[in-house]
Amino acid sequence: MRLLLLGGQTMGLGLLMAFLVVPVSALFLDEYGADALAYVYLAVAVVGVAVSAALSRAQRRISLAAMAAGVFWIYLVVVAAGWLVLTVWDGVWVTFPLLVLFPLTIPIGFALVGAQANRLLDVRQMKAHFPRVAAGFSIGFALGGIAAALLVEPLGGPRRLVGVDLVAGFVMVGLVVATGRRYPAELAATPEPAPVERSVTDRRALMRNRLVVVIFGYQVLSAAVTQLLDFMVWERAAAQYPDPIDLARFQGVFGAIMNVSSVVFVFVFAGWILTRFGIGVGLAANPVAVLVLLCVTGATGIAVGPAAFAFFALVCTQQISDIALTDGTTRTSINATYQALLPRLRLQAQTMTEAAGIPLALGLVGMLLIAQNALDLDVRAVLLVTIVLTAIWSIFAVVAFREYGANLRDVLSRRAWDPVAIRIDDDPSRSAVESLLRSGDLRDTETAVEALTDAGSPAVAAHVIGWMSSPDAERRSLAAHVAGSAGLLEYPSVASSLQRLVGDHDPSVRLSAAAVLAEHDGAALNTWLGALSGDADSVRLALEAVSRSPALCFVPHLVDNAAQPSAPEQLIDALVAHAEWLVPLLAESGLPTLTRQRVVFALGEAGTDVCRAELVAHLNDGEPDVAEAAARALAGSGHRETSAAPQLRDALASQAARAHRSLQIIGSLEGTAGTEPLHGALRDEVATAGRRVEVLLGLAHEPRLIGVGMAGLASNTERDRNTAVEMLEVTVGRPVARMLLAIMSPVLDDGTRRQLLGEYAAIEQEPPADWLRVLILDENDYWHEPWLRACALYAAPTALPQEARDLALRFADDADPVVAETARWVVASSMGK
Amino acid sequence: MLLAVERVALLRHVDLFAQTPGRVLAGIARVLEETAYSEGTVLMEAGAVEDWLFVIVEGDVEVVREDRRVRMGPGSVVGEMAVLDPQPRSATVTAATPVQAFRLRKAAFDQALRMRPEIAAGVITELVRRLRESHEQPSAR
Repeated sequence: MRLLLLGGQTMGLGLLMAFLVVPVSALFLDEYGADALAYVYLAVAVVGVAVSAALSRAQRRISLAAMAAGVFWIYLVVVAAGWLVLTVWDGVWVTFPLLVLFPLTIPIGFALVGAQANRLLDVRQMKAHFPRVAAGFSIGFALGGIAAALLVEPLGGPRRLVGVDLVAGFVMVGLVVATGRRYPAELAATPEPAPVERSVTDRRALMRNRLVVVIFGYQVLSAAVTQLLDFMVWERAAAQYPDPIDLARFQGVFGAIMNVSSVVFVFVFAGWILTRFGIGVGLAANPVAVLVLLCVTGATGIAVGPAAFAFFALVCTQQISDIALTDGTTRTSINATYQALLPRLRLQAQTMTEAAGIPLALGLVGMLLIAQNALDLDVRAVLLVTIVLTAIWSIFAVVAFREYGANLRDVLSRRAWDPVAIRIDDDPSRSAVESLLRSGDLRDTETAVEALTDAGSPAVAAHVIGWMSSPDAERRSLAAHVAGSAGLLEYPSVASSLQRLVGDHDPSVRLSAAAVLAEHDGAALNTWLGALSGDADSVRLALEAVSRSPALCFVPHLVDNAAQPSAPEQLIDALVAHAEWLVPLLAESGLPTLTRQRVVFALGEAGTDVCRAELVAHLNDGEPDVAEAAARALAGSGHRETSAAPQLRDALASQAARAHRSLQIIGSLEGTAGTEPLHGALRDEVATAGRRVEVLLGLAHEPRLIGVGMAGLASNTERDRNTAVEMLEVTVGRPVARMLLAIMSPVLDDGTRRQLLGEYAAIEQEPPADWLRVLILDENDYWHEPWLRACALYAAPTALPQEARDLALRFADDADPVVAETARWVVASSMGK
Repeated sequence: MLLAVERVALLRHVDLFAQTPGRVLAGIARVLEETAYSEGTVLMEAGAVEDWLFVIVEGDVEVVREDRRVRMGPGSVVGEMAVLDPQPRSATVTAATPVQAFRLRKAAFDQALRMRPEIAAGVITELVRRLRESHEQPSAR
């Protein structure tokens, strides 16, 4: 019903325009000639700007449905008045304002229908169906053109045809009102009164938005080129058909041919083009095709002259192609690009670009034509200007598509929080530091010391020595830490005081001092090591101490500690403090996975360039858990990678291949006894691949946007999935979006998912027994997943009875307890048999 | 004695753990205690301060609270509040048939939560479901 009502409106708009332009243009051209069209275009520009401003104000105050109805009521009043002037007072001059109405009404009408479609359809439905909705205009125009050509003589000339337009006008108003009543929530709601500041802010935001600016330029050029093509047809037609009735008949028939061609194009090709190639091609198809035809027409004009019929036929062909592509691809693509704006800005942007941009284009065309008249140039000069404008229009198409993608990302992006360093470089700041030093709150003291240390102040040493004999243990501990971090050990008094603190009765003071001295003092290192192997509190204090006073000598001990499953939280802080020394360890073999994951996490927390570079190198690490940890660590550190980065592409391809292979094995194992746990484990692998891909893509694109898109893909609602696919296609590109859909979609069958993932992995048809063997042995360390191995072993007695025992024996003493337990069970089962 | 693989397969049928990947559940499966109760045995008594939950593997239990009496079957979890916030039990749970269950203690559950945050998502989902149920209860009567 939505499509029917929207299509009805565009068809009504087509009828309305046909019954207006056919009689009015014939009368105008007969009376004033094609040269006078330039003044019509200028008038359109002036009136159009005023109408645009009025519509912009109206859309903030009244509902969309009320605004649409209001526009067409006003149209009816104007046409009725014009008809009376023509028929009662014989005033042909009224064709001038009526002809001005024609190019104004088409874009406004389409803006209103497009705005309704934006609220009633999602972006994927827009791509699939809006071309057909827009085709209603062509059908209406074709029917109106044929009817006008047939009626012009029986009615006694073009004047009375204008009366028929009034009938079409009433139909249009009826359709607009009916649509608004059927969907009141979407269309009839009065907009919230926006604060004046917000309206101003919104307008400024629109003017600054590159997408809106580029789309505005695209629309201006599109309208200017269309109008120039239109002018060429009218100019040549007026020359070919001097009689007004013949001219009106030509206008009617040509309008019909043009619009039937448009309908055929829209129904046969447009939807397919947009769905298959996307909005980028949709934006570029029109200017590129017109440019090619213009060049051919230009060559013909030079060869045979502008009076030749071949030139006239080519001029008509250009116009037909432009209208077909405008209706089929351009309008839909432009409408879709508005989806990349915040909802409250969409209609405003649409009204601004279409209602103001198009009059501006016509004004430009009017000026050009006046210049052409003044210079006494023929239609070939117009052709040349049109070629130049179309070339620029093609460039705008490319830029508009890029901005569309960028805008989609920007709309949902969040502002990064940039930390600001505290600077102590003037008297008020120094005074503030003094005040902080006197504070009883240790946090104030720490802030002050940090500032003084950064400033290289010699006063720090005196403060530190004073605090080392403070009765407050926390202050003594801070003093020990600052002595190390500020490089104060060169002061003998500081060094000797610190030595005394190694024997302090408070363990936190003792360990802080030991950590500072450990690098050059074996006894201090032993004090620290003793704490590290002590009770939980000692371990915590030891780790806190080295977090504040890192040294190379602690690294091996921290790495050993990182292998413990239940290591304390302070371990991560300690690892972070030692991050730069940990970098080479990631490449070493033999480190437990858990240790590597923790090291990776610490590198991300440290976030230095060296650490990030190392993490990027491990995005496709042989251990999937480490690779995922690297991606998460990079994401957490705010790192950004280009989507073309080889490590990122390899990592994405690797996850897609893993999901593909998991799905292949699931398909192969179908019906094999004892494989239910393995099925679950493989499904988990696919889900895990999705999770990892999300993290990876978040490095190259806005993570929240990717998260929203991935959640949308997994949605059970078709509308959400469609919107997500569209958004991801624009953001990450079509191939990656297809891969994501294959991994995440809850509705695709496994066969389709494998097909979509096919480009990432070869199709491997193996019998279930072979797959089980591969999963158990994992000779290339591809899976690196003990749980998969355990599940495969569990299936072995039934699926691989002959070799189950031999396979299991290899893993009876596996480091993973679940694998070892399952393997021993398999061996025992085999012996029982 | 069930294998860890088999325990995981059973845990996947429990709402609390349904969204948790198998390899994560494998860690929990290793610290579960398998327990068996004959019909009429009290698994938990209202007012008792304990810190474990039960996952019913086989058989039915009857949960008796002041305001209602519910029968629960395989795949159900009882006593989960105790591992999140140890307080006196709010219900008495009795084996209505011979029952086989997994017992998971707070320490093991806490460690699993710390090591595997995925479990927390399952716990939150289940708690929200129960909260919603308890809100809907009065109007359902």
